[in-house]
Amino acid sequence: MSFLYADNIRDTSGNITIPPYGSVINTSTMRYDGRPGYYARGWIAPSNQNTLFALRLTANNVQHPNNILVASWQLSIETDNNTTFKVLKNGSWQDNRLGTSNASAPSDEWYWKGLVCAYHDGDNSSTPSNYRLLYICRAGSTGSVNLDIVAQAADDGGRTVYINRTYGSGGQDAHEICVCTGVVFEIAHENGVGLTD
Amino acid sequence: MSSELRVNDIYNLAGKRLSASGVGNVVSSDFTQFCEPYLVYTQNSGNGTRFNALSLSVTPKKSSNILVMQWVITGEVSWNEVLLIHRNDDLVTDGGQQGFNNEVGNNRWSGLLGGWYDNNNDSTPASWKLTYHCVANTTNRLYFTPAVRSSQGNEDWWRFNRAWASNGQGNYERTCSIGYLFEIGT
Repeated sequence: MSFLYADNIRDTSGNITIPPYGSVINTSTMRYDGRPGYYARGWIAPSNQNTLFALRLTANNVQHPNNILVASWQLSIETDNNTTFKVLKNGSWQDNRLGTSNASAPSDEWYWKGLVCAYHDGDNSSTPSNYRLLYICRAGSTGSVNLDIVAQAADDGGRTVYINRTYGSGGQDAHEICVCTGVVFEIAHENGVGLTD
Repeated sequence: MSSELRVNDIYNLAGKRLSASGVGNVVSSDFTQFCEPYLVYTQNSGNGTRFNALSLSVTPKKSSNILVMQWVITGEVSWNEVLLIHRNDDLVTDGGQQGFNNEVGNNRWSGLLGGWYDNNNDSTPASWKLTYHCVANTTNRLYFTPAVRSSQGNEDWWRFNRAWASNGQGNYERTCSIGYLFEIGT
């Protein structure tokens, strides 16, 4: 066993070389087996919408605000097709540009803009749908970064979004009960620092 | 002139490990890809039928390490199906890491994912996005395999990487199923 103690190791250009840029330096996961229903409202700012807190993915022990978070959810959801899914980072609505707030978006676009939208499937009563929600951003801060999902009706009405169950039943033949999971990787960025514990 | 320095670990002056084999890092991985058409008979009892071509394996470096797996699985199926996870050829039943919904328990309508209630099962396959993670709990070799089970009174088929009606032709797409496993250091 041997150890080398130093503050940093740099290449001949002065760049920090360990951990290698692009490496995964932190990983956090979530799993949710509950079967709640959420009411998704229509024309309302996402920050005032009902947040699906049960599906929160928290990046823990983030090392540098410039590092990249790659978050991915497997969602088992049943809802009407006119529904969008958005991501809030620490309570603030984000769009699909890296770390950019969408606060300047016209308010009348709030309800029909999202990262993914519900499927126009053949039946909402049985067999929930399966979604992959992928969100990538700069961490923006160190410590813990909370990533939440907001479901929003894409029309003037509102509707219930069921997690891990169908509209028609909380579990029986042909009415499947599923699981939501998620994982977030922190990736060391060349403008960040990638110390690991 | 190049130079090379080899050590077991590198720490900073505060005692934090800097090397890429530490906490939170990907310390090993496995990948799978399968592009052939494949039929799996799905019974409506028991613990599901494995799709062995999509197995991912790992020999954990530490029993406390986290295993993260993701698959994109394509195919066509009647909607009344669930997808489960087996570990070393058995349904995972460990508390909090079950290969099905742990709130309703292991019955035929409980899984990690449901089938796909699309508007046409004859042509154009669907895709499922599966994420499963667990604690290794061993340093012996593990392998994880998606399995399928009918969630209704009838038994059925799950057609992977193809449409229901054809192995591949115009309007009947042929696709691939892909997965990866990351072992995360703790």
